[in-house]
Amino acid sequence: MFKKRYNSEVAQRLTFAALMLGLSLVLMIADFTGILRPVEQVTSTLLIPVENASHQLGSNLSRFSDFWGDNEKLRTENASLREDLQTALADQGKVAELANRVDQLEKQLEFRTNPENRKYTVVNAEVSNQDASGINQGITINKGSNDGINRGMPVVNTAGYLVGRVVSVETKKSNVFLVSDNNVGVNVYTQRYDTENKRVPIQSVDGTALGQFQLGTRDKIKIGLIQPDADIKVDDWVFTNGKGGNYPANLLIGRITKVSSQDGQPEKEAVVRPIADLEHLQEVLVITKWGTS
Amino acid sequence: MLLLTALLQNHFLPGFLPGVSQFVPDLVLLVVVSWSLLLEVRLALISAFAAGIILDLVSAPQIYPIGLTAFLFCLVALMVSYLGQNPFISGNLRSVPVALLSALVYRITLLLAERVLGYNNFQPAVIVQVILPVVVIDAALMILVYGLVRFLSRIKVPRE
Repeated sequence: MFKKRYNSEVAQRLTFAALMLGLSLVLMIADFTGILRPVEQVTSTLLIPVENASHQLGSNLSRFSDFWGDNEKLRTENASLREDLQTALADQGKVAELANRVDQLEKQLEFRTNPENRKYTVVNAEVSNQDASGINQGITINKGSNDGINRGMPVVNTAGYLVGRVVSVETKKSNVFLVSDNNVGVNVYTQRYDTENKRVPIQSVDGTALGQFQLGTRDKIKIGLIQPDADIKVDDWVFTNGKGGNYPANLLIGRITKVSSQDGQPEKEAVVRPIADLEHLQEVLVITKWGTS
Repeated sequence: MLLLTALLQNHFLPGFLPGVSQFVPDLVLLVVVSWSLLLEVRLALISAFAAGIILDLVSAPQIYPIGLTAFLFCLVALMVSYLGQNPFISGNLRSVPVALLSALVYRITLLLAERVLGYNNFQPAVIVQVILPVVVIDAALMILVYGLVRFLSRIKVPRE
């Protein structure tokens, strides 16, 4: 009799568990079909100020603790930096040369001056959060469908370097997967510049750059399946080629840091270091419209 | 309490630990595991469901459908409720191995769910560099969270 009662109790518990799991599945299906959209919008509108305040509080406390915790370290670093600064100032020529190089690169990129790039329509957005799961390389920005943002739109940093793509949009915020995420693929081509920053006429290599998960390194993108005889070297620059229509052409992504053979295959692969600092993004531009769109 | 924990996990800690935000512990999961050890299975399931919905609503970036975390938390709560009855893992320190196992199950099933949803994150690098460290952090934090939840669950509202 005791066993029968125990079995009945277990059956009741399992039935209840099945009910809760079923309810969760129903919610998921409802979300996929869009029925929950109004609920999401309302809760999102209510929660955004609280979420932003929580994130801001965390950031401010982080800066505060950094200030106190690293005070002594900062003093030492400060002294060291002063010495470095003296050395750097002594080499004025080198500094001027570097500045000149940056200017020339910007000119070559023609981001601001290229008539094609003038066709960009962008929406400025602030980064309000970053992915906390650790699985996705993503950020949340404070602009959404109310600001004309749609899923799939490319995102660049304030200097115009590609940082990612919008993956989901709500009314007042959007989620962006960074180019370092495994789920972001970009059609790219490579370009080479000599020591005087003049474009070297080579047969540029086309490929697809995919994010790769690697902690402790800034080499977060990989281009695979490159033809064995392709002319690709370390320090080549990587740009979007615009194929597929998902990204405008000629957006700078990064530089190649390593070229190697793929395991057991004749093709080569190249590792790319993004130019944009993906870990400390504060402000980004969402390209809502460009030449061909 | 759940909303505060979810905000702490998803918004406060990523802001507070900007360089290592990928190692933010699954605080809401730990609360769910604690409740599953302390409460009767039906109550634990209801709590897990509510915790999952709240986490789905405040998570950033919101790429999972509402209900996914609730589903996974219910699975974890069910598993923990039955593990908690096992005499071989009873005792005060039982919460640590249970949390370790729960976090591992939750994270792996989350990766599998992402795979089903079309995201490609089920990779050795993700498992080794993120999942395993976070699971260990979760287990280490469980002693504190379990103690706190048990303490709060014992506080009774004074009768007038």
